[in-house]
Amino acid sequence: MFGFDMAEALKVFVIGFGGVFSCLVILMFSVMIFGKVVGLFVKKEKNS
Amino acid sequence: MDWSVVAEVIKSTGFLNITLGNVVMWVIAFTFIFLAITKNYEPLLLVPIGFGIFIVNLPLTNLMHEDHLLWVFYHFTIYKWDLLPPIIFMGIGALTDFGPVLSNPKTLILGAAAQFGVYVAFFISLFLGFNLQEAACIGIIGGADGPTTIFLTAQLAPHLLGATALAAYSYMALVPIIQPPIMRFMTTEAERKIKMKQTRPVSKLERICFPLLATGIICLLIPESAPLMAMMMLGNLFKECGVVDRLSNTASNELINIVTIFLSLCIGAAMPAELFLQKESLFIFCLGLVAFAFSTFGGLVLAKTFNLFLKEKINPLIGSAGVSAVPMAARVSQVVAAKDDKRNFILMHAMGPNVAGVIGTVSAAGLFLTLLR
Repeated sequence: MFGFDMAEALKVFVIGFGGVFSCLVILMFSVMIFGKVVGLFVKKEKNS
Repeated sequence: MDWSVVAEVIKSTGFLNITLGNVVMWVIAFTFIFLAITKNYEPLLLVPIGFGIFIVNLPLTNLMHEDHLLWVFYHFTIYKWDLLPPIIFMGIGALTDFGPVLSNPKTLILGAAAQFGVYVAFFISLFLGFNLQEAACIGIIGGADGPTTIFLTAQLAPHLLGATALAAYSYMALVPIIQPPIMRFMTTEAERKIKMKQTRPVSKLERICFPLLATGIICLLIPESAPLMAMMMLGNLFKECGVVDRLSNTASNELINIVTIFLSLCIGAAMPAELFLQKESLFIFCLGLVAFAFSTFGGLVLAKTFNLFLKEKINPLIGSAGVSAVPMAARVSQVVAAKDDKRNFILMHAMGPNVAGVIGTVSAAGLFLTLLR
């Protein structure tokens, strides 16, 4: 029906776009958690 | 006098071998140089690219034939080793401030949404008859990131390198013209007037650890993105650690300038008339524009979607900055916002999705390589 392998193209789209989102979501949560941890550390440092 | 010698000498000049294709390419080359000099459109890139196009289309010079000057640059630094884009990325890293991302990590998601156009153009390219590898290289133009486009195209479809790189750099220069109409169409005046709270200050420790954290996470998830990601974050670590100013200055000034000369010259040299003057090149330029427009659209839509759930609304104009033309796209967000309210300052907020867009485009390229090489 199509002049290309639609199943392969859909695989590239789903894994590709989904993968980009997943990577950046994981990075976002890592940055958030890291920010909180550093925040506690910096506060403690200030208090001491 | 032996006139046959004179005839031989005349035949050996390029003048008798000029083709219509050469002349067309000269016009394109001179247009780029003219735009760079008179209109200041990306002069650092368009001057060497224009000159590269000019000299590669001078008949009989053979600059791109095997073992000749430009062939050696092109073959070893781009085609064979794909060396120049990662070095450019080191310079970009040394010039980039990831502070806005660290103070508001949600903006990372906007950088992902702005890759939407990459996949729209990917599918349209397939329908137009390009194969999967070629379609991926055309799609990545939507990320508005020249070095990433070159990096991917050199590995998946090197015969398209000239057209895709030129389209990517051209659209990067045209961000202030392409994006504003889409931004105004997609947002209401009330949305454009949304003021965002000042971002929190980011500690030095966070700034130093971010390049290590981002490199670890992205390179482990998408190993194919490592050359670009690792080099960008190395440059950023140079900048943020504060103890290697000489390295940081070199990466962000001399080194990036030297590499830009050779990269741009090679891009120009990858456009001989017989390769460039084909309908595929025209398709690539049109598809690049589609990719870019849909990337802008994707960022805006996700930013508007965020506002359905967030208590503190964000100005959706920062979504369009998710295309990675740094810092041009963020500046455009600021300019469009300021047109409705001169006291609305969203530049620093827009820088978040803007630098996240670079990470997003690198991730998209890495995934294309993983799936299609």
